[in-house]
Amino acid sequence: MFEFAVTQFASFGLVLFELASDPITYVYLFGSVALGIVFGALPGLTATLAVTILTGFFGNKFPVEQSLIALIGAYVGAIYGGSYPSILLNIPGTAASAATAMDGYPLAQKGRGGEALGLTTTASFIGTLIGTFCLLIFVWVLMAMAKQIASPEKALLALFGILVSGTLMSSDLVIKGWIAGLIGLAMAMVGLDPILSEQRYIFGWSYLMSGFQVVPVLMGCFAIPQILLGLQTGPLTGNPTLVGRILPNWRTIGRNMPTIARSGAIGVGIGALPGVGEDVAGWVSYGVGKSVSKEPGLFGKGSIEGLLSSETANNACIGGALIPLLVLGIPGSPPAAALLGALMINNVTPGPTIDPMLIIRIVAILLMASLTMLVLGLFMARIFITVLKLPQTIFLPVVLVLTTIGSFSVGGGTNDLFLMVVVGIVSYALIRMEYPIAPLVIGVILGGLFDETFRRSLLVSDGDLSTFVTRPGAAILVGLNLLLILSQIPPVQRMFRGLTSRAATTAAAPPSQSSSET
Amino acid sequence: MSDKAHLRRQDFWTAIVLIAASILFLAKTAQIPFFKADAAGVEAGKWYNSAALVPYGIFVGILLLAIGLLVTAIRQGGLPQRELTGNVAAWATSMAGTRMMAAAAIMLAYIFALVPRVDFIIASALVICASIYGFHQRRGRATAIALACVLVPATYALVSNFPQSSWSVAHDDDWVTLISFFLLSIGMMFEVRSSQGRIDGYLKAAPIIAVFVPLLLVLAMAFGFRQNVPNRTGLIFKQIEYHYYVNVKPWLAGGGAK
Repeated sequence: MFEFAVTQFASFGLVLFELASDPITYVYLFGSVALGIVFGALPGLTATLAVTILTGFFGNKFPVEQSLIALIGAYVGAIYGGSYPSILLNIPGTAASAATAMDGYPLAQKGRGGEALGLTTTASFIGTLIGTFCLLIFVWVLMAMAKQIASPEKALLALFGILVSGTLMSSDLVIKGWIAGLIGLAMAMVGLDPILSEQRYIFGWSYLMSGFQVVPVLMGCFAIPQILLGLQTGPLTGNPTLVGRILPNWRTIGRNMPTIARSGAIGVGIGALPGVGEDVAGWVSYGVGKSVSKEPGLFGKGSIEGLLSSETANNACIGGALIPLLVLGIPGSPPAAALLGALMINNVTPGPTIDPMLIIRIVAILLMASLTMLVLGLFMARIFITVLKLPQTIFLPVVLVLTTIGSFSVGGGTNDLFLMVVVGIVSYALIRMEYPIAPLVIGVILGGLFDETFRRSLLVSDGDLSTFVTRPGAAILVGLNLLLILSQIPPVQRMFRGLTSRAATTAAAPPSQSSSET
Repeated sequence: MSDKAHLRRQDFWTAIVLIAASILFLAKTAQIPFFKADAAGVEAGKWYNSAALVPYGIFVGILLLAIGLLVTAIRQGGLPQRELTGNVAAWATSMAGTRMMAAAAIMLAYIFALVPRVDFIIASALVICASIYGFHQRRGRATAIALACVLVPATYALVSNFPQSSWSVAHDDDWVTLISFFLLSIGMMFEVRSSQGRIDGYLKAAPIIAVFVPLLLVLAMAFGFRQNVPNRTGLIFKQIEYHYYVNVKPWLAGGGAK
């Protein structure tokens, strides 16, 4: 075990040295992290969109090792970049930084915007490092376990991912999240089926034989609705105030190290859940931070603890989201889904058979991307702040052209563009009616895996459904799926609430009364 | 009417659409062999091997959830009332409604009519310029002019070169789009000055952004990232590609180094 760990760290060191000694790495890293920060800072543009657009540019014409530097750099940069408008304008740049605005903006109003930005930069850096470290450690543990994971577990895990994503990402009714997930699954059924090559829902259009392509679907889901909503709203811009010096306050960071460590762990844990992204990580960590804080009253009024809780967690989530992606091919967040799309274009199949050196390389890239983010965040923050003055009516038409050429170039040509627009308009309608889009995307991505592994399980067991409960792992996953569904059914919720309130009443009863009863 | 009641009314209609769609797709799924699956000349023959198994589950799931949504929507006051048509009409004529529909129309014209048929740089320049002019300020007249400037060349391209076989051939629709772009670029300055008195800096920059962004993007994509770009026979791109391969590349390969 010790020998294995030493070998892994030695390989990691070698790959890191190789990356660090190649000048092209810095070209990709600085360009992509800066682009990511700009995308994160501009409200309406997301980390998923940044990764997806870059996927269109790099496609399969570049070695996957090089593409990954750009894609991971953009991912890290965009999650961090969302904190700029959150703190300075009270407009979250990305959903991941929505919780950051709760305390970041009050701090900026008190004239401590520079301090807040310095702290979020450092916290994001430490958060990404925590996520990277956990990725390096846990991916091997899970990889060893993944060899025991067969088709029933994979099918149930894919279903669990869609259900969890639908449950946690819904802002209105949970049922809408599940419907979105099922629509995504239904979209994945289009084309030739993976076992018998039977045609499904082609409607005479030969392009659909290969199914819905991931990149146009991602662009349709994440770019088109934002463009329509943004142009409908009009120029949404702010005037960020002078923020003072942007420096990391190491003393404050040191004092809040327990908060940072806890938020990092929460971020990694939530990131590792299939389909649940950085926004949930930020809010959960913020909520936990408030509940354990000695000064909960300060939360929402400019609490440093609150700021660090959300910002550390959303960046730590990146490493966590890559764990299920690399181990099982199940993305932990929407940007990780975009990364999966890039890997698929390059014929890399994540899972137990993935090249171990690629995982080590991804970890090394994450480390270097977080360092680049720290450098850019501390020394070029003022440039990124000026970007906030750009009205969305200026950059959204440019994004339309970017997505068009990006979607066109990945393979399907004009057909991909048609698909992108149709998916985009449906997504716009769903967003307007408060349906979450992340479960839909996760459904599209995991649909093929679910279909294939579910049917393969039945094929191997000769149609015996007990195969989903006789294997220990599968039985646990069946239990989790059922619990998740039951927990959202109103009569079950009422029964559970009744039980808990009865237990609380019993616990709160005076000792004399309870002793007399006994 | 509260936002929640409004949302539940939308949920009511969405549930109806979802129920109808799931029934339609269940009927479509019924065409896939289920109990006796023959594929690729082999009688696979088992229900659990059928390509229809998972789709049945999905569409039954959507049907049940849509019924659940319908019940929730009705319970929470989402039952439709008589003013539905009036509400839709009111939204469609509101500033938000018209802006959204204009944005969608420009986008659809761009993707379905212009990009497949017209030079990408010209088409994108027109759409960027029109979108900035039409939506940067909240003025109905600007939105209408922008929309018309995109729809006219888009309709011309669509009508004159509808079949896919004629997409990759150079046509006069490139010129029509280019003229529309120039007319819009000049006309919007006069229109803004006459109605506003002064021209916003962003609007002044719009034609320049509109030309340089797609130009740089196409150059980067085609010659930097070596990716495919739309309409390689377009008016401008054809010239760029010709000069790249005939003049620039040989010069880079040897002539420039001498």
